[in-house]
Amino acid sequence: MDANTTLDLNEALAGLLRKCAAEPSELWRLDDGRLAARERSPEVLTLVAGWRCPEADLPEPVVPLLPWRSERRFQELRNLVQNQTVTPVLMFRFACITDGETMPLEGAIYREFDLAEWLGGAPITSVYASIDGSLAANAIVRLASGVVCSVEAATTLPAGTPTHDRHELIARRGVASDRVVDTQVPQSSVYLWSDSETARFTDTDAELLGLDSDSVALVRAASEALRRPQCRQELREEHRRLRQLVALAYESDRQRERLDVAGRLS
Amino acid sequence: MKPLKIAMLSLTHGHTRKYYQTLRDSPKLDWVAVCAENDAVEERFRRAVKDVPCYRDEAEMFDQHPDIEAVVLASANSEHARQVQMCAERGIHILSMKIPTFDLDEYDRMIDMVEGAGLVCQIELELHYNPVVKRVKQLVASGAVGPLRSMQATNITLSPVWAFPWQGVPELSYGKRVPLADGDHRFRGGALCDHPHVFDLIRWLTGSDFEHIYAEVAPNMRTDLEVEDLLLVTGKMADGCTFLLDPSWSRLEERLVEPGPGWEVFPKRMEVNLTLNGERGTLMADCFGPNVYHNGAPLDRYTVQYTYFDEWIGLIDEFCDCVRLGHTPQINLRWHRRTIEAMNACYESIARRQPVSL
Repeated sequence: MDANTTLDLNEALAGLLRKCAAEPSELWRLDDGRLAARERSPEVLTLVAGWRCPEADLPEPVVPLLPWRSERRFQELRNLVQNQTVTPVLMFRFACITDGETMPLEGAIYREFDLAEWLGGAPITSVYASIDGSLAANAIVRLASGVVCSVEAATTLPAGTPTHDRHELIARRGVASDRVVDTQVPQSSVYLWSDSETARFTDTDAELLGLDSDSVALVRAASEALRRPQCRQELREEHRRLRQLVALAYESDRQRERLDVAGRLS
Repeated sequence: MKPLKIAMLSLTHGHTRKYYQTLRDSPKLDWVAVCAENDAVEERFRRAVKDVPCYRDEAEMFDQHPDIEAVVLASANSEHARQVQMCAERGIHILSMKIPTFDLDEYDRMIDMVEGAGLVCQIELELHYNPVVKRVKQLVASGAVGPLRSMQATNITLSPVWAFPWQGVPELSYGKRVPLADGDHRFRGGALCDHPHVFDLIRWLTGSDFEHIYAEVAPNMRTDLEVEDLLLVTGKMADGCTFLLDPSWSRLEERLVEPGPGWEVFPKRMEVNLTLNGERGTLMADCFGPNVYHNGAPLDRYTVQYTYFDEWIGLIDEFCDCVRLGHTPQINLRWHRRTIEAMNACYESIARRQPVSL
């Protein structure tokens, strides 16, 4: 297991802002999920991972973050597509299995749908999903570019198990992935076996050393939203769209139909 | 047990070379003869095997060797029905490659022929004899992850069409020329037809059958193929277990006419990975791992060198036992029919752009 986060996220974010001399004009708070929606103050800008907000329409003081977009691995995968290192992309294979507490099934679908659109550089145009309650979902979506993407999501890992995911982009020239060829599980950068403990660490950010990779991504995404106020409305719109796409997946399962997105999102 | 006198037909299937070793090594078999489909195949066979008679006419081979008790149908899918009929008429047991036929009327006639003649017809789905799959089966049966709620499986490979051209010809692979969908210039007969294993495995592991199925094709990686090479499949089993299967040819290859070192462009030529999500946990398995790696000859490219298991030993053990002891193979024509129906349903779903109930 990865070592646990040892820093307070708000302190980490404040430190990061101080370091780059960013001074947000408003009061803010990074919500790591422990803050109930009713506790959010309208006078304080609340930054929270979008998947934690079940409602599609969020009030202005709430900024739904898409933290995975701040992860180095996803930025590099996106670069590989945008720079046409792998091109043209044809099929994506995504998987995300959680313990259900770290992220519920709807959250995993939300995350993977966003990654499909963001990495592929095109909106989802159709959804077919096969879902088992809050436990497992399998979906096939198509992007406007013609890319077909599978999303495997489940919440079947034992409590406390780090999220297991995989993203593979298949192109006519080349395949890109965040997993090593011929492996099933993520690799770490540091492994420790000692008399007193067995541990592994995956440190990707020296400025935020001590935070696990999900927390690093959340703090980085929040930092970006505080430094670039103009992106907040865009994030709210993207969140709205993603919430509706997730709802469409559940509707597809209920109706047992492939659903076109056009005309179904408000 | 008396060794089974066996022959091979056609020698055009991708698994043909694997049988050369198996038929030679197995103490349960006595390899009598082969019949090659054409000059190139015969030449390739004669280079690999020196001491087994090679014919070009099936009837002649059988007439010259009336002691042949069984054959391996190592042929294009389109040849299977004719060859099964010939075997039924001669009372010869059959070990068939993985797709007897996609035409279900023809399939039923094959069942009648085999059962009418009292023959063993075993379908070659070697994963049933794979040690990783056996372990997974045991773990699932023991309730290690609880009742299965979701399963994902890959059966992804490079495309074999350059070495085995029939796999890119709709009539020879699928049995006829059927467009994938209105407005799509491709035809049925590609990657899906090559990869029945995961459709079979999910039935075997869940003990349930397909309830509905949905499939979608991506644009082809290989634009010069007239059959599909990338597709994804999802749906539910009758017990509610949801699944996602990837039977694509998504690993690019050098276009070798004879498989060998240097075939891979993507480092790994083949993968069958399983993820089983149960009510009490998750189980993941790589059916062909771990492996070794090199970047040597011929292209100095980083390559996964398989440390293959020999599933063919268990497969031949079962086949010989069935013939000698009068048993029915686990993967017989009747069991396998539902798998073929599901694969046909994938094509129907692609054409309709909606799920298909089974």
